[in-house]
Amino acid sequence: MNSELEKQLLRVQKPASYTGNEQGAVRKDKNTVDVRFAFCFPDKYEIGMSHIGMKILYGMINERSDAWCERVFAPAEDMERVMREGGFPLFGLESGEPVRDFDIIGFTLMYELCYTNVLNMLDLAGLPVRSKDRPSLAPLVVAGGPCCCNAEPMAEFIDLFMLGDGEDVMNELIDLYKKYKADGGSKADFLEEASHLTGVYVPSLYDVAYHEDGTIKAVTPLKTAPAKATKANVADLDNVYYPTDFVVPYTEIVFDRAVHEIFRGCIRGCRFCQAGFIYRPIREKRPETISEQSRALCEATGYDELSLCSLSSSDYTHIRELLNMLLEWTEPRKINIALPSLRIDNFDRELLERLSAVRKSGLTFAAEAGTQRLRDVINKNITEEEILNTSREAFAGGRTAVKLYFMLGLPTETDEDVKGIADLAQKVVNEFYRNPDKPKGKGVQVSVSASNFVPKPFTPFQWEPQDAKDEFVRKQEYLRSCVTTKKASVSCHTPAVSALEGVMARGDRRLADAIEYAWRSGCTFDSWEDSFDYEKWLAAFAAAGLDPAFYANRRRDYDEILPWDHLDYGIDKRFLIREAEKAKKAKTTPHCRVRCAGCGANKLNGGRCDARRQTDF
Amino acid sequence: MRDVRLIFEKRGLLRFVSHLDLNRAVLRCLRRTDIPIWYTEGFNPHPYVTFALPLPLGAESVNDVLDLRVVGDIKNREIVEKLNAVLPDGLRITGSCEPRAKIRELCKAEYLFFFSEATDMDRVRAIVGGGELMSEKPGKAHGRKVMKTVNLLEEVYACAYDGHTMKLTLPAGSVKNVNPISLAEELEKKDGSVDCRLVRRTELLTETGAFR
Repeated sequence: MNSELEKQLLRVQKPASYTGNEQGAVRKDKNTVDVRFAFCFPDKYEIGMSHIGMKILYGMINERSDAWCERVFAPAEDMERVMREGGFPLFGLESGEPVRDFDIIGFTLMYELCYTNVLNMLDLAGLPVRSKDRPSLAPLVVAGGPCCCNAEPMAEFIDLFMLGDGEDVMNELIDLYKKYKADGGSKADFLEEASHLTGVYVPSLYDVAYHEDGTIKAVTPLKTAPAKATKANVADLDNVYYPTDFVVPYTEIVFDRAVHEIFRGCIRGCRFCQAGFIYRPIREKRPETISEQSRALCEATGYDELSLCSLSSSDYTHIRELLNMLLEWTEPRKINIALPSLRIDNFDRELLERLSAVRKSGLTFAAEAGTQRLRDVINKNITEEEILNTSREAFAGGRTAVKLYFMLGLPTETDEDVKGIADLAQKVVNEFYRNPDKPKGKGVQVSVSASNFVPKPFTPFQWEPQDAKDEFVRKQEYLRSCVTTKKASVSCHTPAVSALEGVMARGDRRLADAIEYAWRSGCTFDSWEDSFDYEKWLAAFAAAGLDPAFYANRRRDYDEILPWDHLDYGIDKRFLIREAEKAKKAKTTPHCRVRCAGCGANKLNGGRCDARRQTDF
Repeated sequence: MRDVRLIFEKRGLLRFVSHLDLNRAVLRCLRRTDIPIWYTEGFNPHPYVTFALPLPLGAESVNDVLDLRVVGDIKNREIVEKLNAVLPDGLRITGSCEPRAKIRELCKAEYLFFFSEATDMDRVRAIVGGGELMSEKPGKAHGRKVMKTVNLLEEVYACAYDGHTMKLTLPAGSVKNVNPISLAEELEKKDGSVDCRLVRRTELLTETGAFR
């Protein structure tokens, strides 16, 4: 690291997030590698370092002797000031060298509100933000992550998107790049050839024409680009790369622990949940593989907590077998196992006791909606009875706090549904006082958290209008007025933030002008409430001649061409329409193990989906 | 069960790792070894590791001290070898002993200040020799948070110079503690030529000698 910058580090908060000398950080001799990869996470260190995707790809690229992957995070405001004042360009944490000299710069797009940070990081690196202004092959700017399923708002800035599972396609891409670099090939030729890889989408190879009303008339592939770009799918999780070591940070990060992904995909089919659809089909990892790999990981990192990660842990077929296998070595080592998104109702109590022997985690229900009717609309199969039963048992066991998660603005929602949220919270409070074994001298605390629904691509609600900002404000106020007990507290998300997310989630590539304008007028860290500036964004939309309501608050017809229709995530549009129609009638769809709903994603996996394997349920 | 005193150094980029973060990093490193650590017996068992004196963010240290409680009959030499095998660059155990001095006996520390060639050392000597360098730091008065002004040079036990290096012995410990990084910063504010590149704590002291 530059010694002048080192001296300046004492002026900023958390300087250890910029020094890159953590345990497990990979250092190589740059003269021995062909491809230098800058893995950029467009948010602060403490967020990015918690991201499992980065850990996997960082380890995987660095296993190659011909490539070196370094980490880059968005510098916080104070560090950005130091860098801009001192003329220090964005650098890779491992080498301390400027990112603009790397071969490939890869961003992960985890949420829509990180887009201005991507532009800011490119600018801090000293690069033009628009793809067309970077004519040479290096540095190639690529992006992956869930937001790529509607990559269009970022299409003008990113050279190439990686759709779906990153493991296989990343290696194919690096191989191809290496070939072009050695032969002195052009960026245009490289992009055209890359577009033939499964999991690669090159936005500049698609021409978008619009109707007069602003909707899309046609998306036409150029040159030899395929009509549809298909997401990459890793078929066998037991044989795909998983890191045996993590970079272990010095400073505290959001999730500072060993983590293991136990399966990909989700059988539940909650209609609002994008992750539940775009990570399909279900692919499970064998318990032996998980236990073996996570043991190596804990030994290498020294972590005392292991988190099992998936979209719904208790839907893992071999969960009991796995936990017994893990506990055998975690208990003597005093390693705590964290099982987020666990359904307690169908779980055996003895196992649960052993899990919580070290530390007790909180009790959280994602009820999502306040009435059974609305929970049926969104296909969230949790009943009021289940919530109350589990709360009762938890209270009897000595717990005094329950968290309830809801969404406001779901399709077909009425004020009765909003009031239902308050009613449910009250019932949980009542359950506590009805309990004869309740802890003496302690009150109960029910925390209600209400977020704002944002319709997302590749869900049955992708055609739905989002509530306008003022309607969210009204519903939040109404919800607060319905809560009469002091034992329940309500916290809500900022409506303006959700409104912007709504625009970006289903936006098209014309949004580029607004994103660039907003960034140039000072917008960064839009997902952080203290830096979010809605007025600037409104000015940006006006300057770009765009109406945010067109993107967020408009109902689309089933036959409208959507900005993401030329991306294939395996989810059949006819399935989404079926689900959308059932939602309107408040009809539920059983989860994938009860009956296959025909989403179509198994075609990505040679027809195989682990939801249909023999189960022990 | 016994306590072992480890002498360590924390250098280079590790100086940007805060005291609490260092504590966590050392605990994790211990878990990566098979050193038989004694765990506390409370609800949330954790190893027993105590640092003699927190080092301010930005400073290096050598001859720094931490105490560790172990069980079984592991030899000190083994503990040092096993731990050094897993410690990150910049952190190294350089010795070990039975704890003799108690932590509350620690009252002074010796520091080296390294100045750039451009620094006018005569000015540094004049300021330090003057015995007054005021600094504001957050403190408490009548239970409320206030800014307090303190004289960083109120007590200087020893002072020596060698070219662009200054050696100072200052109050340290739980009773009175002078932050050497603040001292360097205040010196830089006093005179535009002063440019302190590095601060290193070289010894922890009791009234009678090195803290061991």
